[in-house]
Amino acid sequence: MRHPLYAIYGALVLACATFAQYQGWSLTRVNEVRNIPKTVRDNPGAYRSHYAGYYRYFGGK
Amino acid sequence: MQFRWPGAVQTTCDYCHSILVRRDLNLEKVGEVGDLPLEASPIQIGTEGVYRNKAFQVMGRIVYEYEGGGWNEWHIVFSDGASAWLSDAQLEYDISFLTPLPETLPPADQIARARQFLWSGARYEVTAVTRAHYRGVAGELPFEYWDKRDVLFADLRTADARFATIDYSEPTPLLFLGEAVEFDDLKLKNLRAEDAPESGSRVAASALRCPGCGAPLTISAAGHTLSVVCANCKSILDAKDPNLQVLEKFEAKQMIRPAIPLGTRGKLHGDDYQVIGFQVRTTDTEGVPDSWAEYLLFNRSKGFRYLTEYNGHWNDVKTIPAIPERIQVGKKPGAKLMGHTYVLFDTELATTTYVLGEFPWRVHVGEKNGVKDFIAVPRILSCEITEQETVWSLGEYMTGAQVWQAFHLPGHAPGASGIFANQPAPFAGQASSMWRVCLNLLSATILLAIVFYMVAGQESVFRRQYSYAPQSGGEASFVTDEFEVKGHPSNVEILIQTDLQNNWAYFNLALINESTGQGYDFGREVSYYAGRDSDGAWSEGSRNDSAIVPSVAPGKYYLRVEPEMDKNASSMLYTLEIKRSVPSIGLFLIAAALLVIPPIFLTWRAASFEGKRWTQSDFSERE
Repeated sequence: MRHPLYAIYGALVLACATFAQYQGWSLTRVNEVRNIPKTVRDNPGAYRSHYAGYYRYFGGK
Repeated sequence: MQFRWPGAVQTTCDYCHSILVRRDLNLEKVGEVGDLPLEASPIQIGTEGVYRNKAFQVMGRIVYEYEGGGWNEWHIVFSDGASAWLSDAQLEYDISFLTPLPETLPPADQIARARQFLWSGARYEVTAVTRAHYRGVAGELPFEYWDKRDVLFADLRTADARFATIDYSEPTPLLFLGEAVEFDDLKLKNLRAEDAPESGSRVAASALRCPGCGAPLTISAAGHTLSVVCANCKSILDAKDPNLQVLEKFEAKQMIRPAIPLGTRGKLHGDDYQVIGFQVRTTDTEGVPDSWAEYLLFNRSKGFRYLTEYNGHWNDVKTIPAIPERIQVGKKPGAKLMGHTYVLFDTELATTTYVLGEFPWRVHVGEKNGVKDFIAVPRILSCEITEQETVWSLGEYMTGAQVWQAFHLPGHAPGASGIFANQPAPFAGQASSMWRVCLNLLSATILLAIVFYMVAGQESVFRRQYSYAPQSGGEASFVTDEFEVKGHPSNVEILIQTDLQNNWAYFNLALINESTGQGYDFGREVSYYAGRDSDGAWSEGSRNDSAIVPSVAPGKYYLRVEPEMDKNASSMLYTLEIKRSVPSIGLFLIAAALLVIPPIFLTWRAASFEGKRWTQSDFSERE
């Protein structure tokens, strides 16, 4: 077979893509937060979202 | 005397060299043949061979000499009694037959190089016009031929190696049509022994000395060699003269030592060749001289071929018995030969500036030739033009390492610099083959994506509808019921479906693991506006959105939701749905992008190489 190195490279790319797909990896990123207190369950307002305070004007055309 | 061929009109006595002509039943002596030149041809009277499945025997011979050398016309007679001629010029062979004139041939003073004729559907072009000197005859001939002096011949060739000669030795020109033939294809038997008494090769054994300086000389292709150059005093000597008369002396600014020493033997195409000559040829481009070297190689039955060298780039070159068809390749002139299309690369005027060794032509320092090079990598088709002759040769690129190996040269070949006209691109052919591998890999990627889409769970683990009224005030945030995410670590998709109309909403979301307290915090905006204006109906945005949370470990989760809207906005109904193990096309797109990078790089390198190659041609965009 010609280009054995490229074939190996291609196989590795496909293997990585398969593994990433299986693991549910994604290009989108979310903010990971550790040790969220269990009190949030009873008092959701006590949790301050990373994205809280969002405000912008959404206007039409 | 006994005639071996009943049709013979003339024969020569082997003992007294008398020329005898048959007159009815008598033989008449019409003259005597002088000593013929030393024989260099492997063919002799009595040699037998096969042409187009018909056996023939060599019956006679006419010897011609001209300014640039000499040749034999061997009279051959086939088993069916047909008669033809086997031309042997510097070990290049043609067989031709006397043919009735298809048209009135031009008189001798109107025949010229490059003139074309259309005979039997083939375009013949005059490649050489030669005024030859009749040197002698031997054996049986089909006509009287003994009182000739100077004879004019025009040689013609076609694209498919057909050959023709117009013979102006008679008041009405004679036309001979035939073709070029390979020595091996003739299956010749009863050839002249290399050490036969009359063989030119015996001269090589004798000690020769330069009459100019007394330095020893060697002639390896005796019989074929016309000029020999003394390496010591730079005298060019007449190799046909027993006294090696000095023809000219040339001055060289510096001594040039051939990279392959003269006399070196090597093997090319399975045949043994000896390096017997070396010359440097120089072009002048706007006052800048540019030189290349040519090594003349000799094999007793295969003839001559050349190795050319320029800046460490080598070519194995052989003259060809054909006139390539001239064509147009795009905007460039081209040539077609044996199914290959060649593109004109450059046109130069080459001057011979240095010579060493021996040559089968009258070598002359300062001689100028027009040279045209056409390329079809790795081949190069060259056309050398003089006033009398057009010579085409075909070369193939060789690396220095290949030359060193073929000639068993010590050390390593000097490295090549720059890019040569017909140098194969280092990635030639590799890009296309890599694209083929790439196509297979991309197909595998698509197949994998399809498989993942088919086997992906996409299990809905939570779905619930909520409403939000910003005008009601109070705490907007809340948490959903607990739901279980199963299986191996995989992604989770949160889908938001709203009933927004000309409004927006923002969702602060946090997917929280009940037991570990680990959360994934993210936000999504949803907006949808629609209406109608003078252009018609319009809409912008979407009522729905989704977010992917990657690599979520199995466990029990809940969602903290905090919707936001304009304070004066009306209420909104929305549904939250959570799906597990959702296939993602993005990963496969990344894989595809990674797969095409190497072939794109290789294609770019190959294209870049071709671009650099053509900067050196007559068609450089720089000019």
